[in-house]
Amino acid sequence: MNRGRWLFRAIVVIVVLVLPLLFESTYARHILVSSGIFILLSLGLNFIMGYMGQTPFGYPVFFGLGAYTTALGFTYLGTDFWTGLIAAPIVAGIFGFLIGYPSLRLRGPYFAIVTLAFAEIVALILNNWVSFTRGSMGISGIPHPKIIIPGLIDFTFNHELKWYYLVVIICAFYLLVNHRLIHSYAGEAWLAIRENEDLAEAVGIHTFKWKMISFVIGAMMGGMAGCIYAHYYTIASPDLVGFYYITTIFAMVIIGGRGTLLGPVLGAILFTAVPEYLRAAKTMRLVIFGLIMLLSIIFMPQGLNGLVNDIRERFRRR
Amino acid sequence: MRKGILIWVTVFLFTFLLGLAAWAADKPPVKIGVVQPLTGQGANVAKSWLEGMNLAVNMINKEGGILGGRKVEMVVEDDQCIPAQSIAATKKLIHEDKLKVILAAMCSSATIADVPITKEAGVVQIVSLSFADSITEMGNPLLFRTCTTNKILADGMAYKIAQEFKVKSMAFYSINDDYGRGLVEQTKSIFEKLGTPKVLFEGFFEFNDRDFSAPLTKMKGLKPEGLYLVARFPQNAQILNQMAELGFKSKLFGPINLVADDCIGAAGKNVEGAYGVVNWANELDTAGAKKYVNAFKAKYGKFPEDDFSMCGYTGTMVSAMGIDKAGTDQDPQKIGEALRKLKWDSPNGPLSFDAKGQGTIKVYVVQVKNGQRVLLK
Amino acid sequence: MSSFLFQKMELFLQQLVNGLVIGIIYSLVAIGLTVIYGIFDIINMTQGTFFMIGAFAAYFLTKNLGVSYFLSIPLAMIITGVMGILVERSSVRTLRGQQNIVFLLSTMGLMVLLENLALVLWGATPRQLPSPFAPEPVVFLGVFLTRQKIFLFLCATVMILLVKRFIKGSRLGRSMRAVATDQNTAALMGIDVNRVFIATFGIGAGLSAAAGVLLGPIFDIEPAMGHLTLIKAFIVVIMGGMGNITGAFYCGLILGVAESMGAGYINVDYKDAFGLIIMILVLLFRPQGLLGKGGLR
Repeated sequence: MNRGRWLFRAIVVIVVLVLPLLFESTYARHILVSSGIFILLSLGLNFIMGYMGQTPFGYPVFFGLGAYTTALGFTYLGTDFWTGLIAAPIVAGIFGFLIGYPSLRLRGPYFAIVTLAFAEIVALILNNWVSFTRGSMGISGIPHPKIIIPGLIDFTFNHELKWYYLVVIICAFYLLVNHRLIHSYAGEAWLAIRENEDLAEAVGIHTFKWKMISFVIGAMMGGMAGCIYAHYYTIASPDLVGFYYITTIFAMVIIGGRGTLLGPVLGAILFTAVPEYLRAAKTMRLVIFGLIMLLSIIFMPQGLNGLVNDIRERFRRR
Repeated sequence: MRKGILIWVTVFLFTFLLGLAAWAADKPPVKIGVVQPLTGQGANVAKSWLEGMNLAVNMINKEGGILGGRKVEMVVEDDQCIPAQSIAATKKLIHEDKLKVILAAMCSSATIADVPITKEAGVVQIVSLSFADSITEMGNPLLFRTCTTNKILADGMAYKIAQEFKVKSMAFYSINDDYGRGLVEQTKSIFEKLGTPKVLFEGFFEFNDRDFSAPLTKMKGLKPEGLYLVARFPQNAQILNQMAELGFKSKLFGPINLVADDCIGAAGKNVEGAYGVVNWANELDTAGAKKYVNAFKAKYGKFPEDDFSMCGYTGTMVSAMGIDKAGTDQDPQKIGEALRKLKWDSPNGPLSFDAKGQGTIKVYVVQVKNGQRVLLK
Repeated sequence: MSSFLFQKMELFLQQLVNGLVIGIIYSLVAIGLTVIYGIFDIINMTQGTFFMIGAFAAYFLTKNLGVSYFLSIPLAMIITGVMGILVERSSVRTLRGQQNIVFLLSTMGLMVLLENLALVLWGATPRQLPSPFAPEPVVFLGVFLTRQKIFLFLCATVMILLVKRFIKGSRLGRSMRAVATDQNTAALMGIDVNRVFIATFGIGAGLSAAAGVLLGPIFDIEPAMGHLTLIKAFIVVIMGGMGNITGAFYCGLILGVAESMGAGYINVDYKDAFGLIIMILVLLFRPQGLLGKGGLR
């Protein structure tokens, strides 16, 4: 049994490493990188939504903040990707604390709407504080990351292939962190809160503290994803906090299957790759999104991940 | 025996001619890339621009094509006026379609995002409809702008406003992007330099704003003699109509969007008397202008409704000429050199490029009288 | 000097009136939202979509079928109301018994679906819903108003009063209030809960649709027009208290005026932020709403 699982995992790892080499086209690789960035975002949202059981509609605010942290750092301080990679999650984490502190006192739909309100306010500021953020024009020309050790290495991430491996490494990092956290003592607390918050409180779990921690960690994940986005697409704009990202990331997590690690990954890949191949049907894309989201909530509450599990179950029973 | 030879020669000749025709028809078209907002903000502008592009393509192909009989074919991608999408569209044209000449884009913010991409890939970028001044300052040696800049537009009317029309006070209301902000900045700085008119208000709106009553009411209270409105359709018409509903009257000034046919159609008498700074007027009578407007009328049965179709026409023509003169559609450097030396009688006036790639563009001022644009001397 | 004061007064009144006109639209949509919440305990993300569908229904009725604008109002309400019932049937009823979040997400999916379907069918270019009134403004005490705006305000007020009366007075209305208080007990007492559900969504959708038709001639209609209205409706419902109709009415007006004044006197660019900040403050310090909570009233 064990050997089978390890073999399966080994195959997955090899496939992941070799995948971009199978596709010659830059465009296909671009899709892989985009999927990767969305995987990071989905994992971040899933952390808050799947494990803690809260629905932060305003989640993309951390994505946008992360992107702008590195973008503004570049514009005013001349910082680069690597600084951004550390600074973005820190800034996002701080905002996670500021937004979470008032919001997490509220339950369910109120929490969802309040986070949305905060996100809208941040979007308004990004759009209107033009002297600082360049408003809706956004910040462009953000440089690709470089690794320079004079005399030894001069490596720039300017090719989709190089980006792919960078993103894969960061995805693996996220998955690792997620896994460790969920299977720790903290994970038990979050699970308890998700299942029945009042009971958890009654049993002595300091629910507010744990909700805050989970929220801040989720925020940091979103922030880091934002930094990567900014340096890959070379721009940061206020629409990162906008409606399109809210619906897309939520769709990915819900349809992929919340509360699992594989679910968001599947959802992200599905929802980045498939629509890109339907380029002609750009507006239909969102119609299909909504339809699948709706159907999946009604008929497939466990999402794609549940489907995969079902298939695996059937396999095992043979 | 002689009859047999005759038959064989005829067959041979026939086959040879057939082959020749087939070979000529087989010549691959010259492809040029285009990034425009087919949907989303600015789609109206793009529609006009495409009319101009199609006019140019028809003309070129009817006159025998370029590079020895090859037809011109445009590959059009939609960027919805969104910088991230513009980048994706440009990348696709460069890497997927392997095009060496790209006409991108329309919204200045999108174009600005595209410049680093074309610069890095070393392809020719022709900017035919983005006015932000910074575009030609970004240091791309293969970038050429065939349209006006915010500075040229501002110069074109600001002095007139202060010195000829003697307007004493002005309010600015504009779309919040590189185009609007740039034009407002340039115009405002001229006013400040001249000391008149006095700027009473400067406000910006987003492209999905619909309710302008609060800022318009505020402006009305300040009683500006003139309002400088930088907005695309349909927002400009909506603003003008809401102004009328609030009883806010003021002399109107703005760029081409304000006095284009679509705005006049939707705002009616609310835009009557407005002054626009433009690059095309139907009254222009140079050889290049006449060629354009006659062909336009012949193909579409109407006069050009705005500047934008001319921009599409000029951009396409210049791209094709550059490729033709360079003798290749695969070598961006050669095409760039050819363009640097280009001198052409464009519909706007004589066109050539300066060291930074900026074209020589003339501006004109028109006024809306009885629902028509009239060129002022 | 007095003329200066007079002008300031005029300006103030104009901003006030602008705020009231848009505010009552907020109230209408919010009342639909709050009624649905009061009875179902769910937040209906499609409320903004109903607003848009109502406006488009009126557009096609007047344009293609030549129906008069006035008639198109109730017709659009009925059409949208039917759609609302379909929504209830399909995504709400099948999910009965699940957590609130599930409804939030399902209505969200529905909203994305419907809005983008509208985008595909009708395109993003804004269309004009013609007003039956002359566009020349009417001036009263220095305030400029169009007849459409006056009609809008009167019509909306009447509708709100009718709804209030209906919920208080009629049999179905009392059933609704019973279900809002305690669904199970109401069912046990013989109330047809299904009928109440249908009525609720029908009313909620219908009110939103009416708002769309009334506002349509003032601002152009387009598939995305429901977005902003939805958020404003949320704000109003939270301010007024979930399930509180009177609260929604007053708070809608308050929000409209607050935004207008904020834009006019404080900062034009951040107009939308005022409502958001108010909402956050209310949620933090008085989550039951400024006018109290509980049931449906």
